[in-house]
Amino acid sequence: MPKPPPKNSPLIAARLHAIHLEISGNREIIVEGSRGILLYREEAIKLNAGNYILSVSGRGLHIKCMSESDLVIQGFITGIEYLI
Amino acid sequence: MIAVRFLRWISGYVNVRIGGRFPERFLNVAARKGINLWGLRSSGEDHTAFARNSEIAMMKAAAEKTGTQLTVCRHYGLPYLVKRYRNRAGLPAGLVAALIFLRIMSGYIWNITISTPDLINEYEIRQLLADNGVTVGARSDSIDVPSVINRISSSDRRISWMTLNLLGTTAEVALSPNLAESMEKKETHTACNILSSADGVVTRVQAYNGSARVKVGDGIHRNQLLVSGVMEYNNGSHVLADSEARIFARTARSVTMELPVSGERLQKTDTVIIKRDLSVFGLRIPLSLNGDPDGLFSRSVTNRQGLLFDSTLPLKLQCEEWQEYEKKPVELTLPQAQEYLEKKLKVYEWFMIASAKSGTLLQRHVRVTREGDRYRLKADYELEEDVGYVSVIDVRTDEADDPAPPD
Repeated sequence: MPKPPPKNSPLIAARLHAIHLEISGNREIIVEGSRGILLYREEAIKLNAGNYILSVSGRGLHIKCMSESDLVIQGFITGIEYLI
Repeated sequence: MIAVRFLRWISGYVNVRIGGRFPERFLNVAARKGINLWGLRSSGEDHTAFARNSEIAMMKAAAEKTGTQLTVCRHYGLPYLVKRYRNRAGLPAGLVAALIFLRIMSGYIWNITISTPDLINEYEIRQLLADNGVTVGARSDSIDVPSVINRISSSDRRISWMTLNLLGTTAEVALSPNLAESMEKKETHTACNILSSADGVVTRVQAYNGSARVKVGDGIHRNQLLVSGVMEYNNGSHVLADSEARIFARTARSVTMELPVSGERLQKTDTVIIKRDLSVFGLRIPLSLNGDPDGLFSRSVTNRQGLLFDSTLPLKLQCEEWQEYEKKPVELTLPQAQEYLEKKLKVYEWFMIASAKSGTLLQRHVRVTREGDRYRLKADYELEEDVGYVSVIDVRTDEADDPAPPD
């Protein structure tokens, strides 16, 4: 399991135990703090973000690299959705 | 990124296909086990990814646990390359031999570059370097650079400083001339006169020290006193001076050259022998079967150095061209004799002007005539040159001859 972030972290994401997203245009998303992949298709990738599901939709989506809690999604991104 | 790719290539990696009902589950388990996956692609039901060679066993365990099918599609990297060519003994043997060859050969000097000013001939420097053990094919570690520099610098006074850098298999030599040495040294005396070295008429007088005894327009003869080292004062006293002056005078010279009308001359024949040698790592390999010919031959040599991207290679192609000559009895005509004698005269003039101090050729009159069985060339010259030469005043103070004071 990933190490829980400190409570006095300046990042809101860390304080809320939420994922941290870094979006570069509509080509790349760096996700930190993910708890697992729920769906991996070329047109949609769904990630477990704890209290909700992060859904990334687009074309030609692929995971460039991944570790236990972080991953990099690349492709032509058309939408980011939070499913609660 | 290149470093990461290189490290992956060194350790080896595989391309795997992940199939089954829930490949996402495999990805999560693999991530939790610390398996590093990259380049994940989804194509319908199947997923492909890259993983390190050493993680295959862990991936198989994860696939078994999650009920997915894991197929290794392709192998990449050095371990698989070695494995593929394992049965071809020649390849690794050749690689090892090439590495050994490179290792051994990189310990020798295969190229010598010399940057030298015009005052010092490159060939002489090459000879000096060869005498001190710096030659093509010499071992780099056998060259004691400081001692070679010291020896060469001290052996040739024209060299002010010298550097020798051994860069890999190249020895770079840079030289600087000793300008003070190459300049004409003025001899110092306690006292001297300036005398004339030729007959003529004075055109310029530049007396720096001493008492000038001639002026512009004076006619002078050989060994005449031009500048005196004895300087007299109005009160009757005198001092001896080290005279220093440049006395220019218009002088005349003449030269006569003769050539027999009939005689033997060397003429080129159609025979040209070409010898080619290939020099590889200092080893000369003859490419033709011709030896050095006997008889009257002139030899010209051209060298072609092997280059690779402006770097000199230890490869040199030497081409020697031997042109044969034969002696033929000839009877010269006046224009032929004139042409031949003019060539000889040019050489004479070059040396004459070079030997004259600050000499300038003012006039030249040349005529060639036939006198019996000989052609005679007579050349008259008018020069302006520094005619002064130093004559030391012999001042002796022989104390032994002095009479002893009476008791």
